[in-house]
Amino acid sequence: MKHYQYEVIVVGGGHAGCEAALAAARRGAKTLLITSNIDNIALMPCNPSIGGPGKGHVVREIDALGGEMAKNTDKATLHLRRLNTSKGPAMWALRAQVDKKIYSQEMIHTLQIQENLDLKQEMVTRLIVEDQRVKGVRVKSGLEFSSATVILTAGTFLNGLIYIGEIVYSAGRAGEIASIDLAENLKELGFKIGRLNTCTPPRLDRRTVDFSSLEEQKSADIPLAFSLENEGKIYSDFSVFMTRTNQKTHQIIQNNINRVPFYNGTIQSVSTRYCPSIEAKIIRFPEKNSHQLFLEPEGYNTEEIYLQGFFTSLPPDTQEEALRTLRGLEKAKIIRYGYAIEYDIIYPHQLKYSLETKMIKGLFLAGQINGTSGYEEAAEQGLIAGLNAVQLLSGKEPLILDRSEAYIAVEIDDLVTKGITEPYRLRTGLAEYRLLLRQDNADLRLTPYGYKLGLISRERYKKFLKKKELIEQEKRRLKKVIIPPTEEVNSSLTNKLHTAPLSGMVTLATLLSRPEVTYDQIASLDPDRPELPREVAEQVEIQIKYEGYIKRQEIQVKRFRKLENYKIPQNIDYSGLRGISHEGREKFSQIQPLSLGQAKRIPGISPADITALMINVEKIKKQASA
Amino acid sequence: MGEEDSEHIKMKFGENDTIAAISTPPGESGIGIVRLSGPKAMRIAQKVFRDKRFSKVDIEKFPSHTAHYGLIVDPRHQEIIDEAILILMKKPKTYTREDVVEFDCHGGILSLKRVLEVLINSGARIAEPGEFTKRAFLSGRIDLSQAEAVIDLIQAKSESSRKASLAQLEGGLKKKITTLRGKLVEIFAEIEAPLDFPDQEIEELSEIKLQKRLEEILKEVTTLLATLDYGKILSEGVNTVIIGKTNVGKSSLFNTLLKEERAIVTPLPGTTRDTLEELVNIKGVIFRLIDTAGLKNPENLVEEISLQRRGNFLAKADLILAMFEVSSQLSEEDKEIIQEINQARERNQKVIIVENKIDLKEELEREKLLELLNIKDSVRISLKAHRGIDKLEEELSNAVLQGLVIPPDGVIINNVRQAEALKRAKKGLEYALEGVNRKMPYDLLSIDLKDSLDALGEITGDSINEEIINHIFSRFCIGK
Repeated sequence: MKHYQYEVIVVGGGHAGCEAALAAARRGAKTLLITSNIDNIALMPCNPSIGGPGKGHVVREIDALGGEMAKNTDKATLHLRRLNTSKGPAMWALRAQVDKKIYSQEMIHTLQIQENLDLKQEMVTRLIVEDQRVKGVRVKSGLEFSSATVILTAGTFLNGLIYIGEIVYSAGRAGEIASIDLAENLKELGFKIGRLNTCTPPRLDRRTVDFSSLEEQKSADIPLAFSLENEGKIYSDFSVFMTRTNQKTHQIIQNNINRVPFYNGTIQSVSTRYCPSIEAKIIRFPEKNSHQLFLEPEGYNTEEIYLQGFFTSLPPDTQEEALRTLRGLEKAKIIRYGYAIEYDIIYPHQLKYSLETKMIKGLFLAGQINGTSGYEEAAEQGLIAGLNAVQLLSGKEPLILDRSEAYIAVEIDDLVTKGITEPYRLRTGLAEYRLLLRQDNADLRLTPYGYKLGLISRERYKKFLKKKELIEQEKRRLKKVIIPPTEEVNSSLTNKLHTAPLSGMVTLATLLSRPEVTYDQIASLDPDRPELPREVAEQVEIQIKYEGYIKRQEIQVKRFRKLENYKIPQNIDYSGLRGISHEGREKFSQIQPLSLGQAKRIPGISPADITALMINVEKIKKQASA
Repeated sequence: MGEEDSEHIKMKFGENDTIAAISTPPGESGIGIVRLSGPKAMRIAQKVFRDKRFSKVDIEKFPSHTAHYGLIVDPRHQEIIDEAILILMKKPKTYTREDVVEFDCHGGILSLKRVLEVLINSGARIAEPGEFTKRAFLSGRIDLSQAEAVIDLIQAKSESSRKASLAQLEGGLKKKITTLRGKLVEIFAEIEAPLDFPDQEIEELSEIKLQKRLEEILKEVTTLLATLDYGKILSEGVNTVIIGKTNVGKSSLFNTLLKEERAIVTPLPGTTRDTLEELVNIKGVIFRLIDTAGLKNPENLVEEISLQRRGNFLAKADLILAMFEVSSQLSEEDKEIIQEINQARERNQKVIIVENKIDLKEELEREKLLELLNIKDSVRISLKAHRGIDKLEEELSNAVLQGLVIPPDGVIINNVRQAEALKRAKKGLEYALEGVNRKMPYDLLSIDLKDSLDALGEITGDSINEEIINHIFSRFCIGK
């Protein structure tokens, strides 16, 4: 059998696979991406949108680390909004509706023209593993490809099963073949396998929807972009529309609930609470008379409309019947029915922070295979796995961020430390230090890492340093310029800015810290203000306005870091440690925590176990130094 | 957040902070020790220590392992708190291998607590239970076999201490904190829920409701915080020393107060139950009643020791019951006692004057006694005829409860650690309320509410804060 020599093999061409392959190839590793259907690379099998609270933050982080998702989104955007603008800056988020086809095609082309990267349409059937080290993969045609690292991004393909009403069949996604051999192989290798499921809504024929009666949500009227490398744009060709379920809809679903695989016992696996099916919403919240639904465009060259919020595995006839009770959808025709898909995952506590498996050296896992849901969550894992595969090849330390640095780190820490009980979805609520993890400062937080790892160009890094300097300069200036409480100033404050007059001298910074006052507004009191790029002004405004909160959050981070920096030696035989409960020992040896902070976050670990662990660690350290 | 607060918090969680604790050997001499350990020990001691001429001294210049007599002052208003012997022990030859300063003080529990507070206000952090031992271990001062013994104790500890703390909190503190925390968690969740799901039409909490609910919790936290002094008295007992000339009836009073059918409270850990000292519950307040010998000149070693003990007890008394008899004129011994009383009053100790033997013919020049003591009235009793005892008991409990906050629901806190956690919870609530008033977006409020939640959780053990490490040796007595 002929052998092919690669340094990194990526299995799967979804959002995780794309970022992994690009990151590895861009860092100079000889990389191969194998996927069962090249046309379906970067496919969006569910919603045609990128971003939202938490997720949008991650897209910005991917951009700052030199990943592709933000740039690719900007190429395919149809409609772009800023969410949560009435909330604090930690909550602000971008969400784009994208053209699915363009998104996929652009990504395919980016992969095709990437140096060091080969694409191959093949189905991987097994991993080649010797002495707990990965050596390559074997594909259905019998070929073997060898490589010191393999990144598995199998998505929903492992033993995938599609459910629509009473119908069940094997599939990786609608219309694609499931990976059964590979799933079997992973089980044989000894991985602990779990099973999750997720739902997708029906796609409607645009021509059969009456938009005239529906509420319209327009794209933002200011120029926006996900990637910092792109100029903002205003999009006006497409809108999102809203409709609502009603009592009739609920009644129809209720009447057919026994035909839903989740409710008649056909599906036993776990679904996420954060993206509930329409039938789950109706059963769980019977007091709610109505649920919002969104009609989202799927692209320029398609008449398909995505019905956000109507995730379902109802039988096709019921889907049709229920839809027609909705305003504007009275005559709607379904092009693709909603369905549920159930798939194998590898429980992520079997991973290191680098996303390498603890059991098999060189094998990395990223994306839905780790129990997450969402394109963005998958993409960032792919990026981290790609980066760390190359770090491993070159004998360097992996990139491990902590929870106070990035959403990426929050997600990976949650996965490897807390494990999975339902499909994992990022939310801002998961980030303890979210005021520091804003989408607007993702570049400030992470560009240095991207640059150091070679994914951010020198030119972009220089621009970044310049931006940082401008921000600091302007902050210093605002803290120095003093505004006297003259009559003129006070009349301007009360009449134009609708804020309280001054009783004494204040700096511009103090004035700006009033919640109702904006940076733009005080321009009239600030004749010497320099001309600054919009994103610099935005940073200055946020950093000054929320300074008190940011400082308090930084104090919380310091407390957090103390335990994170308390390192626990690896390869401890926990079964031999005294004073730790049986359960504690089991969990510690399963997770192999890197720090006392991580140990503390393991669910079910008692304070006594932590203290006993610390004493043992002190003892081990002392013996090591003796 | 003020500069001071952040400085305080930084110090609190910094690597090398300086810790302080009361470490009085239970049931022994009248001397209480407050101990400082850490890199700033000498600097902090410097701030509060004066020599007997009230001048500052350069502590760092003292040789290691030397003792120095002087005063402890509150540097904020230069008020004298206690006299003390400062013992300086420079690193590394100390228990913790850090700089250690000890203050051997005379005052009772309340006065020791004030010394501790002054040290904390000057930059020290209150030590966790057993933290001195923990530092000793971490600095290698204790060897591995000792450490292993500690490990073995931990599992046992978690069970027994759980029981102990449950018992301690049975008065309702845990229930109360859990309720307060539950209310906060609810608010937290209501603030958070709409944030991540902007499309899901979750109703936002109104500002007025939020403010009202936060204020409610803040009020309860504040009230609870104010119960500290009362709580300490309830749990430790009021050191009450009976003095008076020979045969004035001290032992009778002691026995009378004990003989009442009220149950003698469970002995506190470490309480030595000798014949001179008993715990007694009078009108809900626990008194540690101490009988003393008279003031006659010691004739042998035993009497000399006895006299010394009396002095020690007197020095650490929270309350002094001074007895005179109406059946005779003021003796020399009485006059010495009057002097002692006046000195005690200068040390802010409370004194109740008891005139005994009112069943006998009155010989005492009462006006003169009251004048010498500069008081208007006294409690007049007859132990023999059992008259005035009720009144005395009332006086006793009034003297203690005066100026203390007694919670209507009976829930109290009784140690400084709980108070520190409550203070943090309070601060977080205040910040959150300030945020509501300034119309800050709700997501920012959760930063402060989280601090409050963590702080409350520390009291009940629900949240393990970063200080969890410090719980390691908590089965050891505080201070060592």
